[in-house]
Amino acid sequence: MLDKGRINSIQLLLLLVMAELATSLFTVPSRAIMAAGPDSWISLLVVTGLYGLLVAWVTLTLSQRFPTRVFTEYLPDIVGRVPGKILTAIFAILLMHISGGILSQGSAFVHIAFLRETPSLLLDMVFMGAAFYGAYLGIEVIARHTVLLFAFFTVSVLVVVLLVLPDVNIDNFLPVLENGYMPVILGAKDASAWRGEVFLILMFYPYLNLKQEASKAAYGTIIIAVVFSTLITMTVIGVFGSEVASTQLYTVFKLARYISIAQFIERIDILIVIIWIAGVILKLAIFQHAAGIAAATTLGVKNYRWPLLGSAIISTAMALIFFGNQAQFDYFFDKIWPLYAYSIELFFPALILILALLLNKKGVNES
Amino acid sequence: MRKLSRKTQTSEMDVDLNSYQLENKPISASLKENIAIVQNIFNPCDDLHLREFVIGQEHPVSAAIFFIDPATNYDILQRDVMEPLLSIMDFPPEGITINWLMKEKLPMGKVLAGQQWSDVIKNISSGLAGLFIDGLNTMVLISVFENNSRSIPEPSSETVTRGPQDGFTEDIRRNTALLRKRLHTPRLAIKQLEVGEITRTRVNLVYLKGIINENLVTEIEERINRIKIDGIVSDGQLEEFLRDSPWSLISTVNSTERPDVLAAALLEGRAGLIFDNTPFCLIIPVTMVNLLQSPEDYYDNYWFSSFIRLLRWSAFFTSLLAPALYIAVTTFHQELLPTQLLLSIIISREKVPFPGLVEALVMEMSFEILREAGVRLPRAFGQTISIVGAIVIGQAAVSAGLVSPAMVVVVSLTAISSFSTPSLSLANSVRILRFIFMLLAASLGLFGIMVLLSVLVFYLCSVRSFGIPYLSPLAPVSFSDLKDVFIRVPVWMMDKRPRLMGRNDLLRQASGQKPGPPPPEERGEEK
Repeated sequence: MLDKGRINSIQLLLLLVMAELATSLFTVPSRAIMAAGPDSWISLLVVTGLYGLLVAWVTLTLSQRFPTRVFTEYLPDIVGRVPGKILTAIFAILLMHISGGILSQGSAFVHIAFLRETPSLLLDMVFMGAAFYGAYLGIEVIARHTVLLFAFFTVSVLVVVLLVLPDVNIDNFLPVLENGYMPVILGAKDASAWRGEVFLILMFYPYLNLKQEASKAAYGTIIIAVVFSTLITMTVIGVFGSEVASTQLYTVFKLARYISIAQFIERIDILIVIIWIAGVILKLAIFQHAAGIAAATTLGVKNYRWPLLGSAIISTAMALIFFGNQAQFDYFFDKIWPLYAYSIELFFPALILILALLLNKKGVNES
Repeated sequence: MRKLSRKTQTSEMDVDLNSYQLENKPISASLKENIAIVQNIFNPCDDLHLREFVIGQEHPVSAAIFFIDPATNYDILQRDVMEPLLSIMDFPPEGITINWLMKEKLPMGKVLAGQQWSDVIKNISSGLAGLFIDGLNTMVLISVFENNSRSIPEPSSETVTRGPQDGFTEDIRRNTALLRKRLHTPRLAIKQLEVGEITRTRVNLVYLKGIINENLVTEIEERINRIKIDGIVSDGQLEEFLRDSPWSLISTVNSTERPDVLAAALLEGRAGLIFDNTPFCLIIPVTMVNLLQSPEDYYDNYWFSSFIRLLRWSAFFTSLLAPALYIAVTTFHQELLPTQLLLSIIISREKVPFPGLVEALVMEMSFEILREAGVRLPRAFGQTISIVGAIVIGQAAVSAGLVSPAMVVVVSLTAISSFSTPSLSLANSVRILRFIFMLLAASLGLFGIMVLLSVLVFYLCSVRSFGIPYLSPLAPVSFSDLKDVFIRVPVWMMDKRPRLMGRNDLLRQASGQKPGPPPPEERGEEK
C-alpha cells in the first residue's frame, strides 16, 4: 500500500458519499426528470438504489478477498501479470478520463454561473491544482476534509430544501406512474452511472481501519446518496413541475435562486455555487488519489506522488481534449457515459470477481 | 595528601588557568589558588565582589566569599552568612568541615557543596555566593539571591473581566509557584531543562502525571535536548525549534501568560513549558479550536459563553474573508447583492478612481501600518496615532475621494473582528492570509476564494501539533468533544477530557452532577 494513512468507517462512508453526490446532486435531477417525468423520484429512489447496492456488493466482496491491497495491486494476481498490467493501466487511464469529465463539468458550471470571460483552461488548472494538493497530502487529509465539507454540504442542501418547501405543489407529482414502469426504469439510466461511483471502494478499502465495518460504509453510502438525491429531485419537481424542470440543466441552482423571503433572504444560489466548487475539488481529489495510486501500482514505483502529478496533468489534458467544447461534452454525458460507467463500475469488477471466485484467488496471508 | 593534591592542581593550573576548560577539574584546597582562578575566569567582571575574612579566634582559618553584587541581597548576606561565620569561636574536635558549616552554621534554605569548577562557575554566574575556606577542597554555594523581578502583574495581553487577574512574570520560580498554587498535587511534574550554551536559560516542562500521554513528554524533552544554540531570550525562539511543520504559516504552539490557562491545559492532558525571563509560557499540543477559546468562556454563564463562541467564530471568518468578499462582489458578482444595496454601493464608489482591489489593499495596508505603529509608538504619542488614524481610515479619506464609505466599513469590521481572536499568533496568521485571499478574489472572484479556502482546509487537515491533528475535534470528528467547540456546554456536562489528549484518564468528573433541588424525602417534607 503506497499511502500509509488509515481512515475509519464513517470517514470512508462520507468520502464515498461525497464522491457520489458532489456533482451529481445538482446535475442528475434534470436528467432524470427529462427521462421519467414526475415519476423520476421513484427511479432515483428504487432503481438507482438497487443498482448502487449491486455495485457496492460486487466491489465490496472483491475488496474483502484482498483486504490489504488496492484493486490495481491484486488485479495482476488474478488475471496474470501481463494482462493484469494492461488492465490496471487502462483502469488508471479511465480514472483520469473520468477526472477529466468531472473537471470539465466543474468548470462549465463556474463558467456559466460566475466567470463567463475566464478561459476554461485556467479554471481547469486551478481546480486541478487544488485537487492535486489534496490528493498529494494523502487519504487521511482527504477524509478529514470530507467530514467538514459533508457537514456544510448537508446544512446547505437542507437550507435550500426547507426554504422552498412552502412552494412545493403536490399536484406536480400526480398522476403517479402514468406511463407504467418503463419510464421509471429508463429514468435511472443516467443517474445510476453516478450512483455506481461507490466502486471507488476498490481503491480505498485497504485504508479502512476496522474492516468489519466495511459493509456499513458501502451500503450506507448508497442509502445516504439515494436519500439526498431523491429529496432534492422531489423538491425540484414539487416546485417547478416536471415540464419546466426538465428544460433546465442546473435545476438546483435555479431552485436556490428562486428563494426570496422577506426581500432579505435571497440569492441563496451562492450557497449552491460554494458547495459545488468545494465539492468538485474534493471529488477530483478523491479520483486523483485513486488514479495516482492506480498509476503508481501499474508502474511499480514506491512513491505515488510523481504518478499523481502525471495523472493531474493527463486529466487536465483529457478535460480539454475530450470535453473541450459543449458538443463533445453533451454527446459524452448523453450517449456514452451511462454504458461507459456501467462497464467500469459493475461489469469489469464483476468479471474480476467471478474470475477470482473461479480461480479461488485470495490475498495471501491477509486476514 | 594535601600536598600531593596541591601539586597536581598547580601543574594543571599552569595549563588551564586562563581557559574555560576547567569544567571537570576539582577545586584546589588552597585559598590563594582558588581566588586566583576565580578572578581569572571572571575577568573582566567588575560586579563580582570578593570579601576575605577569618573564621575562628583560637585557630583562625582564612576564608573568602564571592558574590555578584547586583544579584545579591545584602540583608541576607549580612545576617545569615557573614554574622554566623564571623561569630564562630571554636571548631569541633575534627577541625573545620563543610558538613559542620552547612549543618550548624549557615541558617539558609538552600546551601550546596561544590567540588568541581564547573559547579562553581555555573552557580556563581547565576547569582549564588561562593564560600572558599583555606584547606578545604570543597566550596559552599549559598543562595543569597535578590529577586529583581517585578511583582505579579495583570496579564496584559489576555485580559478577562471575570476570572483570576494574576499573570506570569519573568521569574521562573515565581511562575512555577503560581502554577503550584493552582494544582495542589504531587502529580504535578516539573522537569527542569536548560537551553542555550551561554544563556543556560531554564525551561521547565510541566505536566500532570497520569493524565498526560508519556510519549508526549519524551517527545518534547527530546526535541528540546536536540537544540544546540548559543542562547534564547524568549519563548518564541524555542517555539520555532519545536514545531511540527517548520514552514507553516500557522502556529501549532499556543503561548499564554495566564497561570489559570496553563493549569486548565494541564488538566486536559497537555504539557506546558515555563521559561525564565519571559512571562509567556507555551502550551503543547494545541489545536485550532483551542486558539479560539478564551479563558473567560469557562468563567461566565454557559449560555453567554456559547453565544460569544459563535460570535467569535463568525468574527474569525469575517476577519479572514470580509475584504476578499467585498472585492469579489464589487468586481465580479454584482448580481449577488440585493438591488438596493448594490445601487448604494455603486453610488458610493462613483468618485473612487481605483478598482476594488487597489482600494482594499490601500486601506488594509494603511490599517496594518497604523496598527504596527501603534504598537511601537511610545505611550506618550498615543493620541497622535488615534487622530491620524481616524483621518487615514475614516471620513477624510472618503471625502478626499480615495476610498468609498463601504470600504471603510469593511476594513473597520475586519479590524474589529481580527481583535476578537483570543490567540495573537492565529490572528497574525489570518492577517497574512487575508491578503492572499484578496489577491485571489481580485483575479478569480468567489471561485478564487472558494478554491483557496478548500486548499487551506486541506492544509489545516494535514497539520499536526505534536501528533494531534490541528483541526481536531472537527476533523477528524470526535462527537463527544464537540461540546466545547462552537458552543460551551455546562461544566457538569463536560465529564470527559478531550479524547485525543486525555485518553489515559478520560473521565474528569463523576457523571450526572446536574444540580437540582434535593428529592422531597431529603428535604424532610411530607409526601
